[in-house]
Amino acid sequence: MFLGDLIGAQVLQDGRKVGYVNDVRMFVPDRADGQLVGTPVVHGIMVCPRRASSFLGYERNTMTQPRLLAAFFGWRTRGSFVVLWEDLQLWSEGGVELRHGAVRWSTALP
Amino acid sequence: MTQQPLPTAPPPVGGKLLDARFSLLDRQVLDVDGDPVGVVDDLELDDLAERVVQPGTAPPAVRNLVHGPILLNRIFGQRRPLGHPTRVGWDKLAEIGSALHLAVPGSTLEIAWLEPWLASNVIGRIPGGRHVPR
Repeated sequence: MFLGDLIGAQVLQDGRKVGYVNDVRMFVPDRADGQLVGTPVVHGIMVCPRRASSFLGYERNTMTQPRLLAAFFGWRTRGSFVVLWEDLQLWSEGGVELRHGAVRWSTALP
Repeated sequence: MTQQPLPTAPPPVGGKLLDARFSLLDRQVLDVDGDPVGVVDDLELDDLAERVVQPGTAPPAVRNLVHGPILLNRIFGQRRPLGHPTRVGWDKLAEIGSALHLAVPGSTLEIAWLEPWLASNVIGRIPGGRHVPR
């Protein structure tokens, strides 16, 4: 599967559309023996209620400047949330489905 | 009505989190000598055995950086031809930064075939094209 096939795919929950995959949050573990960089695994998906471009880094807590841009991207991606891997029920190029009761987390990087 | 801000998910232990589209896609790829060998047009992930994610299923991992003429597919949403893009294994990556640094020379990669091909078949046929400019 290619990441590009997932970006922009529909996200459903209980048969209802809740948004589109805006980005895929990866967990890069500490490197193993023989590696220089750990192999990233899917940590969760970022869901935006509307088709929007990348968050351009404004999802991060520390990115608040310039304020005008931060406000614009915050408005453009309003209602976005992160769902972790364990709360995904269906994973395919055609779309992603969330489990019933999936927890919605902030898009901010911890 | 103002919505309550969502809580931040507890971070996993060790390692770091990054957003693939923002931090990896479209990044320049440099070889071990710092020479550019391409950009990350896409990432190849593990295929799951089935579409339904059973509880406890291990999440897909990134296997390859993908380079190829897939920009139009990303814009217009067409299916890319299988086997067309070239791949660089994630195990060849040395560092993630503003560019992705590889631990191997570009000459060992399939990804770098275009530049030598253009040099010998196109640029080299132009009068003066085989001279190093002074």
